[in-house]
Amino acid sequence: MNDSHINSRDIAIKRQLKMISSFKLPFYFDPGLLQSDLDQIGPDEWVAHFNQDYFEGEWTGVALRSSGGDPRQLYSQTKAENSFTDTPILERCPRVREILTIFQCPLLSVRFLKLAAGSLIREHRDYDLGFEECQLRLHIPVTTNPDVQFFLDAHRIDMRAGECWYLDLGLPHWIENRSATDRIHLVIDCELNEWLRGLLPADASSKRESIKSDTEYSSAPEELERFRQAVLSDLKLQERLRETADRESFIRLLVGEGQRLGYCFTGADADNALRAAQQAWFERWID
Amino acid sequence: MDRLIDADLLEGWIPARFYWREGKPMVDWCYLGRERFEAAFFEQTIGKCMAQPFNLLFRQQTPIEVLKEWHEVRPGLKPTGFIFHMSRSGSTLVSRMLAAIPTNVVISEAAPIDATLRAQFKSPELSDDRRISWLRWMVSALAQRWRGEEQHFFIKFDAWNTLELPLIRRAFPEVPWVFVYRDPVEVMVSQFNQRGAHMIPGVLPFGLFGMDMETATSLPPEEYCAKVLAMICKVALQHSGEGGRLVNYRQLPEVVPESLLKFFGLHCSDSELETVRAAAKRDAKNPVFTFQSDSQKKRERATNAIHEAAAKWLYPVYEELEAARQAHRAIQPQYSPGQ
Repeated sequence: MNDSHINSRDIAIKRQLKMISSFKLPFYFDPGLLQSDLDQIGPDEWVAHFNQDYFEGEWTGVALRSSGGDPRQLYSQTKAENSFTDTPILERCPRVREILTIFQCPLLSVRFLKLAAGSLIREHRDYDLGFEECQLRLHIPVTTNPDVQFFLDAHRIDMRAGECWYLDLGLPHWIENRSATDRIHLVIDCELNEWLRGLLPADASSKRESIKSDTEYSSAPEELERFRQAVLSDLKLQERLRETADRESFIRLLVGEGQRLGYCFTGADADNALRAAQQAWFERWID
Repeated sequence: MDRLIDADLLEGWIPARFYWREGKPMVDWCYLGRERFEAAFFEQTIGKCMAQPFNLLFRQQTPIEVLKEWHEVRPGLKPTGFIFHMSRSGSTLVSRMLAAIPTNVVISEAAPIDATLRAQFKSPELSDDRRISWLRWMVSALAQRWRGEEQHFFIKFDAWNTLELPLIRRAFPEVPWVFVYRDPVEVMVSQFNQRGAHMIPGVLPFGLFGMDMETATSLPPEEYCAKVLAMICKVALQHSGEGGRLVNYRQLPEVVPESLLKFFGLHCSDSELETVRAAAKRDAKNPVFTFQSDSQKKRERATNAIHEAAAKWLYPVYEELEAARQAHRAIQPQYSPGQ
């Protein structure tokens, strides 16, 4: 019973987080010191980002921790057969090492990601963040400037050098570096634990008006089912949800409409429900 | 009066399935919208709908009583005609030709109809009267004007539904029907190439064909198939005098524009007849191919076992069907070529 309690609490926290698409953590890391770490990395050590279809221009990175410890491994896989370990490049980056010691939570991948001057990353979502496993992605801008435009769920996020941001990158986002300088972020993937939770706005009174206490949460599948029933008696909403035949945009639409009406479920919940519905449909003749 | 449903909420929805939940008959609804039944089979059209994420997540399940209410609010089109068949005999070609006219809708081998007709196997106490009501409600929910242009509604049943012809006739006594049949060896060769559900013991309830499991599974497959097909043919033959019309595969496709349309009460313009004829130029189940009679090819592939089983069980009733068809034509010509 204890396990399930913790589980439901985690789900509640995650859901609160999901409703917050971005949040600035109470840290400031001197970008000048981080820049000196960057200077230790040679130009040939930057490798092109694996999402070749998403960007125009130059989008590259260096792994400081990666699955298997290869500095060229930018893919932050969540179910890695190889565990996450430091890469040789981290040894050359004392400031990053120091920063990582501040994060009292399990660390997954840690990367420098560079969007070169004049480059852009088209709208996409990061599906590699297993929210069910409570994995979060934090961004620390190292070099950036006001001409870098970061849009998350169609809202511009103004991130300054040295700040530390939680971003829900499962939401659609795109980035345009319209400036003449490269934009480099330190990107840390980590697991949610008590320590990290304490830094995030889980406190209902301060950050969110509508956050319920843990015990008031029904499970996400229940919330989704309640929303489903609401949709079935709302023709306008049905019409709106039928606007797209594309699975991804449908999920986006569904989560958005759900949130608008106060039903708390995530894209992952909707995705699971769709899978279950598909399976049930395929198996409909089995008694 | 209290209603289980708000009528508006089922507008555009279609029963995709009739099933039992905890001993209660239920209907599974899927959103069809303005989709046209273009595919050869009902299930393909439903499958197309279910490829939409909305439809997948938002099916709705209701007790069968909702069908009754829906039938009262939206009775839909009265069926224009029914197509029965012994399977692999050209019935899909007939349905495709009928469906070629945009104002015609053909619901072909719809699972919710079949499941409704077979409800007594799930609930042995079920009376025929109850089943007739359910069938009427189900048909009316399928016979909606999805696009507004529909005027004539046809149902092509599953081959084994022919055994329920008397019950279907009671539910819809005024609806003309045809039974499409074909040379027994040709049908059996086709079945043994890829057998339909009624040709494999146990896929459908054993009781459907009046056999117990022992008998059904101990028969050689050829004999089993021939017996089942003969049962289907016998029921059609027995009732052919009651609003029925026998159609041999050999008469296809010309019999459709020549006389079946009139038989179903449709008065078609020359251009509509052309459309119907053009539909015959495509293979009914696989429209990229043209329809060609493959009788010769089929006969060449018949095994001895098929010949023997067909001769023993099927040819006698086939001959009777042929005699009845010709006698019927002699008495009441549906069409004279000179007109």
